[in-house]
Amino acid sequence: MSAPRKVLVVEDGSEYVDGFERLTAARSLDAVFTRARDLESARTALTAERPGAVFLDVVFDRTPEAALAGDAESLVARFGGDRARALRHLAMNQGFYILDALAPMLEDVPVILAYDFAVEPQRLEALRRRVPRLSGLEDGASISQALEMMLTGS
Amino acid sequence: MRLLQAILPAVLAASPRPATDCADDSASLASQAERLVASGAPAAEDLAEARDFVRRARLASPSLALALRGADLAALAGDTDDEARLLEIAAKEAPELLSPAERLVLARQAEARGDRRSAILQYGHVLTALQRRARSGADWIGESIRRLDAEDEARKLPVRPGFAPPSAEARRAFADGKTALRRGANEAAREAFRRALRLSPGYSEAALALGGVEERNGRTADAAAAYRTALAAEPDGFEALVSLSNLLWNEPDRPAKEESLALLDRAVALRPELPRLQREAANRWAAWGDPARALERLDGWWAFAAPGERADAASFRERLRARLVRSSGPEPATLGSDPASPAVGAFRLAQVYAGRPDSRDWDAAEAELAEAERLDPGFVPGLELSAALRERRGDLSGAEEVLKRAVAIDPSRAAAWERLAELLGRQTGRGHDAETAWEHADQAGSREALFALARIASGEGRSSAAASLYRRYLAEAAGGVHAEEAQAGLDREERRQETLRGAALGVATCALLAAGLWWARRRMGLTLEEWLKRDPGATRDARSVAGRLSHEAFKHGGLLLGEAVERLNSREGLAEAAPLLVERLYGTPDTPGLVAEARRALFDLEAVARRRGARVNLRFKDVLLSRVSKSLENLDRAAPDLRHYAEKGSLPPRRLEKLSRALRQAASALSPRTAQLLTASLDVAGSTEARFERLASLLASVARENDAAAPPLAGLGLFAEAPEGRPVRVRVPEGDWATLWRNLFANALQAPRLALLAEERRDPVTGQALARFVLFDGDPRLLTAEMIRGRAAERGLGVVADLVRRWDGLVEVTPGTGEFTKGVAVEFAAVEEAA
Repeated sequence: MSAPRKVLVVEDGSEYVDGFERLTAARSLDAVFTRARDLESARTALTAERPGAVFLDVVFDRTPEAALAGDAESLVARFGGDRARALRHLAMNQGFYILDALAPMLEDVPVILAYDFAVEPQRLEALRRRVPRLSGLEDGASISQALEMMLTGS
Repeated sequence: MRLLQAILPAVLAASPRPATDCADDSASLASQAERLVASGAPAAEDLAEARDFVRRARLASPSLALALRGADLAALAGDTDDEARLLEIAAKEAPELLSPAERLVLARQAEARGDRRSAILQYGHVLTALQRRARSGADWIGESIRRLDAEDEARKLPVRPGFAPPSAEARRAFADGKTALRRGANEAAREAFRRALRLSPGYSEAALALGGVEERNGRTADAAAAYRTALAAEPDGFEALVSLSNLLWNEPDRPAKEESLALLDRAVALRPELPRLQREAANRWAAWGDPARALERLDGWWAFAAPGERADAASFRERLRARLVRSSGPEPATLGSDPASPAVGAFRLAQVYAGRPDSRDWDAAEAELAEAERLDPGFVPGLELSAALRERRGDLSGAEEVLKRAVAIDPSRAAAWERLAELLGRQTGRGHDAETAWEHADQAGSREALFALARIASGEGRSSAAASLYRRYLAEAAGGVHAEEAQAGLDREERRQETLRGAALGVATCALLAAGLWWARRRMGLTLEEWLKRDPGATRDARSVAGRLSHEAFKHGGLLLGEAVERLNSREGLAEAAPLLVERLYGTPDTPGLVAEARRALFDLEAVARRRGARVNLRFKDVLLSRVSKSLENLDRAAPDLRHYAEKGSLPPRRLEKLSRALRQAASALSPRTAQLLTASLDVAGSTEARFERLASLLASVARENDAAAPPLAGLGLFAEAPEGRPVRVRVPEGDWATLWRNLFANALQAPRLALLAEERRDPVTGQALARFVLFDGDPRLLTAEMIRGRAAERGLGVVADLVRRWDGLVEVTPGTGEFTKGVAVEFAAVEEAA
């Protein structure tokens, strides 16, 4: 009997993990979900155990400033000293920053980013240079499809 | 009777003579009378004395024998009056003893003394006796009866009715009568109308009303009298003419029918605009046997008839023409109430008996009517009178049965239909039957039916039909008993229709208004694309809000709803997912929910437009966002069912189907695809294709504006690719893009030459495509990024800093190479070209 598939869900809320857990229970699937709310908790979870898949949200507008991944000061300078802009940029693109920070740990881990790359295929390709098994969510993908992707690693 | 008279003397003579000669003793007196006339040819004085003895004997002790003896002695003396009187007395006690001849004598005697009612009664008996014996040739008796009847009625008319208006008391009595009529209290109404006439003999309306009551109660003679009273007061009274005409036409004698025809012609002459009358006149003249007159009336009607009616009457017209050509003389009448019917005599008697107040007379009437029916089962007037008598006795079901037989035999009997309708109308639950009977009555020519049907239609809310019927009644029975009420009813229905028309107009206006609002809602205002095209500068703020909408509604919502649809499509069902859906869609006490968040994003988008002076219509006109808005509404409406489903785990099939539809629709609209389309809209509106030649042209323009020579401009990087360089699209609207470069160029005009580098790069973290442009110049003056950003409020580079900030770009100063001392670099997000 194979071990249950372990999935790390990185989001600032619980929308995805609740949906995954409910679906898994309903379908009697063999999966265990670990939730991480920010970069540091995600890193901790990855360090403790290598998951079978990672689901990563993009927008982390509920995460405190201090917990946001990325060089805030560099962005402030980049945005001409506009700190509010810099922080907003970090929050709205936090998933990318977490992905970037965890990239070395995700070399052979399937990662699903909650972002549709349909009109930006080159962007996905660029990101895959650092996270080779990165996928976005396709058009109209549902939670069950995302779960399928995570559990099958496809 | 003759035999009795023959043996009477012997009887009286055989009576024992009292011991003493007592003149007051009846028997003695009778005996003395007999002794005086015993010879058979008494002298005149003996005969006179004998008659006196009989008279005294009757006074002492009236008896049938003495009455008969007295009549006999009177006849011997040639005193026909006394004979008739005494015979009448005898007839009352023993009518079967009188022979038709004796009755004839009685009739003449009564006529001679002016007792017309008694004469009519005796003539009626004679006619019946002859009919029973199947003897014909007694038409003159019928004529006598009719004449006497008319005379009697005429006698009752005031000598010369005045035209003084009815007194107040008479009017009150009339009003009481109408009230009683409305209650169905015919007897009370009759009394009230009679009282009104007594108070004001020329009160034609009361006479007309009385006639109607009498007619309905079967008192034909009284009805005719009342109608004649009305006519006497108002010779051209249309209603009275028609009422009397109809009444007489139903009478089974030719003079009555003849008078009926004359009256109807008078009515037609008064109201030629009523085609129904002309048609009726044509029918009656045809039945009478006068095709010429019938055709004349029919031609008068033809001018007013509708095409359909003409088509129906065409064959009738042809038959009349054929008869006119064929015959040269009068034709036999084909009358419903045939004066030649064997039942006429009995019917006449019955009419007289029925007109009396004593119920024993009614019994007599019914007996005569039974005889009439035996003689002629199809004699309808007899059935009508029989029904009236039954009704008078309270036998409503019996009356109904008889009336139904009457109308089955002759459906053209308006009076029978009227009575039947009234009977049915008084019974609970027979309203529909009553209405049907009134409709038949209307078809038979009843004007009372018009009023009754109008009231029925009004009560059922059929305002238009009621008004039409009231109008017809007022046209055909202007002087009718219901005229005032009909006018009031018509006014009421016209007001009601006016109200309904107003309401309909109001509804139509509201509908138009609603339609106008609907149109305005869907047509006015700008779509997102139209707005951003007019105001590309709004793209930045719109993109920020759109991003929130994309995240909440399209990403999260799309995932949730996509899963819900998957479950619906499979056999899993929604039950398990319902609780999560409820929480995510509608929120918790701590979180607003997807629907609320998405709706707020839409509102914020509209607010952005309003702040920038644009009137957008995103929720109804914009193709993309209207679907989103509608989906949010559908999800709102589905909330109760989804909550119920989440709580109970089941939903009735129809509600589940409805919920499924709402979720599928929402999943279709709130999807990543919609987010892509929204981004694309923003990109199109908020992006510019950066081309080298265009920027070079802009430089030349700025130089001209500043009366300077444009420095030569070299293209680098992407702008160096032949032949015209590779364009790159930046997420900066056209206007702001041009402004930005104008300001950059304006600050570089002093340089001997310029170079413009364009390159693509990606954000190292997010992978987002970026476009970087560097304007190299040889201006030796110091310039730093801080200096640029610090002069935001100024023209020139300050404007550049401002625009860069607005479009989430970057501006910096890079060191130059060779002849170029520095470069001012701007970087913006780029729109990735499709692979």
